[in-house]
Amino acid sequence: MDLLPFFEWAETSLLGTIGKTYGGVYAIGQSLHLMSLALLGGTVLITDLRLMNLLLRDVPSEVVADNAHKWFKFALTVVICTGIFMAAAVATRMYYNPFYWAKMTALLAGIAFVFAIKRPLLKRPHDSIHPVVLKSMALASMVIWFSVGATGRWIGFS
Amino acid sequence: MQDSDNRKKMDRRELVTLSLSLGVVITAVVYWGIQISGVMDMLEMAYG
Repeated sequence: MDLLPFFEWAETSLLGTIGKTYGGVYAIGQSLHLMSLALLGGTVLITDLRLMNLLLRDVPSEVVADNAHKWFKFALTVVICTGIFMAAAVATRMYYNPFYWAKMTALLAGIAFVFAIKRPLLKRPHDSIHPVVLKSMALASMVIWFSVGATGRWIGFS
Repeated sequence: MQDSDNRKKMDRRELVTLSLSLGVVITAVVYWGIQISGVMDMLEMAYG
């Protein structure tokens, strides 16, 4: 399925026109995108480093993971909303950028990993989960979200 | 916490999680390895 017509439509849509015409609005969207990405990265790191027993060792990992997940969902929502706004303004350019597609792949993998793999497992008492599973899952989670961030930044330099 | 029992058997969900996690890490290492070697090749062509 060719998605180019959709991207061309997105660039000429109201959202794309606002982003392209008003630099200040685009800058606000980009700032919110980066701040929410930082929050998302923080929740991922605090959860995964706790699961690896590297920080907050005096706080139960269930407490850390559950509280961080609430903020993760909020940050993810803002990242997606501001990301759609930013991409709409330069949609055709994004379509031809391989790192945009790498980022989208990593983002979808990250969302699927969190909601289909990580959260269902972490709903169990953590001491009932094999430590190797917990640690490898935490490593994989950090690797995925690193890839989301790194490919996202690479878009700007390609 | 999770250090309490290192020898317990893994159930199916844990095995699936472990396999997918290893798959993710290996895929990422290969992907970033290819990207980094591409950059190194380009730098070599540009600066010798």
